[in-house]
Amino acid sequence: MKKNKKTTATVGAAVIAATVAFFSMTGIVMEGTYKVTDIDENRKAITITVPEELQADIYELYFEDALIDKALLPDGKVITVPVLLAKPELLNVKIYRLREMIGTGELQEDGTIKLKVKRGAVKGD
Amino acid sequence: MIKKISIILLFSLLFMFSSVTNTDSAHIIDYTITLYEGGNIEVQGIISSGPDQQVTLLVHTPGSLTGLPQSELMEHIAFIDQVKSTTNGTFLIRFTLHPKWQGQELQFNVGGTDVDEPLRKIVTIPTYPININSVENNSVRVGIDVYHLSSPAYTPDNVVNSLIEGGNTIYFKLGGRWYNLLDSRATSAEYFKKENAIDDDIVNAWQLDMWYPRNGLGAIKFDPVPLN
Repeated sequence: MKKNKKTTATVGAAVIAATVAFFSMTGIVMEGTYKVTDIDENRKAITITVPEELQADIYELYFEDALIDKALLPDGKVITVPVLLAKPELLNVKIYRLREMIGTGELQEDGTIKLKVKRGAVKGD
Repeated sequence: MIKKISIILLFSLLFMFSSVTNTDSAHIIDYTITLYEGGNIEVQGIISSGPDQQVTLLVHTPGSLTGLPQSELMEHIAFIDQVKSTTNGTFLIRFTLHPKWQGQELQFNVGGTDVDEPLRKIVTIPTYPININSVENNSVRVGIDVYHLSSPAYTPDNVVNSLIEGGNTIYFKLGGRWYNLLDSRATSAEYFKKENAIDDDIVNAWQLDMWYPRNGLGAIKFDPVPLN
């Protein structure tokens, strides 16, 4: 009986540890937005907005795995060729706070960004 | 005009640095200087007083500039700029150094609103060729010249002149590779795959004239000899 209790406790701890590890890896899902504006016929600008509680200060914009450029948050814009912004699902961002990467995001067609934020990165988390 | 603005900024900066200590003084917590190929430099740091503060970067030959006659002053200054800090007091300044500073020591001074003492660092600028590999991603080759897409020199008039000089060619750099924007497939984002990039040997043989980097300090001439 004692052995069973010990086994149960060990399995329980392992499950909790695995759950914690899983959530640490996957992070918290949050939502950001992005906006594309015309500069001229050869260029467009993109700006992103992320939840204020992240206190993010820099983002990098990627086309698949290729860095396009980086800019400050909030309001910093990345200027690029229009065709690159035509399919938002090919774009993703990395967001930083005080030089530490705190999350990644995938741009969606509806103007939102699906953010995966590192555990502990949200104030009060 | 740029020279004039630079001088005004310089004097504001010197004034800022020599201001008396006050109880609300701020400081530059730290900054990093990253040197990239082709003289591209990134300065990223944090000012203690938080967002919306003016941060000034002055890059010059090591030593004090005080007492130098105005006619000599500009010869010692490699770069000067002022930006606003953002969330957390973070600031980011990117620029391309003129090739004349290659191999030389330069002193970086970062100051800002209510900062009593600028944070100084001295770095040695490595030597580097100004070739197509110096060009940052998110740039376009238009005819005979190359422009970063944020360069203020990227104007319709300049673009037309570049095309007249170098022929009807437009390429775009992404992820270290060049893509032909005049390719019929380049109307789709799907085109920008590694397999559609221009072969490196072809890129390295390009004969180019001027490189217009992001900060608008003016054009830099490419080395005349192609890489291969």
